[in-house]
Amino acid sequence: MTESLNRDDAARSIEHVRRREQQVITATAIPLWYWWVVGAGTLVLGVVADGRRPAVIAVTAVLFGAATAALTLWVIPGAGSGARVSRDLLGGGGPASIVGSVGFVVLSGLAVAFWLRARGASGPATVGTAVTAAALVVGGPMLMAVLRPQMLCHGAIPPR
Amino acid sequence: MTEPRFNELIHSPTRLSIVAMLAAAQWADFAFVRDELGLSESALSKQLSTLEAAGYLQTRKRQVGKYPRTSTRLTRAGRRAFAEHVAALQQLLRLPAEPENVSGSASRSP
Repeated sequence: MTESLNRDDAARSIEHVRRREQQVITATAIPLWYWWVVGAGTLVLGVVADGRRPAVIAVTAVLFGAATAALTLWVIPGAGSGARVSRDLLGGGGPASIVGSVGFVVLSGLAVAFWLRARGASGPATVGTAVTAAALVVGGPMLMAVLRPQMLCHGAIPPR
Repeated sequence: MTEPRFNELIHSPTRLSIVAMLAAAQWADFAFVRDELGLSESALSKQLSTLEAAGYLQTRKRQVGKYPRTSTRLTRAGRRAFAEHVAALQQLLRLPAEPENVSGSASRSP
């Protein structure tokens, strides 16, 4: 163990800490497959909705809602990776912005579906949910790219 | 406000890596830390035992399906010691450019 610590050693240690934080953030980030799975589930819901069988629609909607909620609660903190990211790093806005963005995209798809239905288009729910699925697959990773630097700012050593 | 306090125990490169990683997590599986840091099981176990003996982390064993899984997390004392150590490092970087002995600017612990 060293008896004295010079600036170079301190700088190296600081860099070390920063790298480890980045490593945890990267390892616990929402995986790409999450957006594809939620997108595919949404599309299935749309196809079922266009089948116009109320009992099937109700069951599918409940299953989809429960599965998406469970998956989201599991994936957002990074539990699937073998670690759960610190609440301090996530900050108050992180989970809220993910859930809010997913909710906004799903509601937008529903709005498209209702609009198409009102105009008498065929397969309105399928088209609406296809819009939602595409937005999730494209927008999800973009959202992560925005959140990552914000998480680093909440770390022990904010980026320079 | 975190008081800068150099911590010899945490400053060892391997332990600093472990503590920095755990500070960024609520908890982490043993396997996650081992794989991310590229350590052997025995090396990681030894370092975790040292940190646990100092009261800086807790380990928890649980059964997941057929397999036992060990997870670990920093204690409140561990988080505080890490924050104080980082503050001491940052304080040293703010000092004039000549090599300085950290004990002149920040207290040492433990």
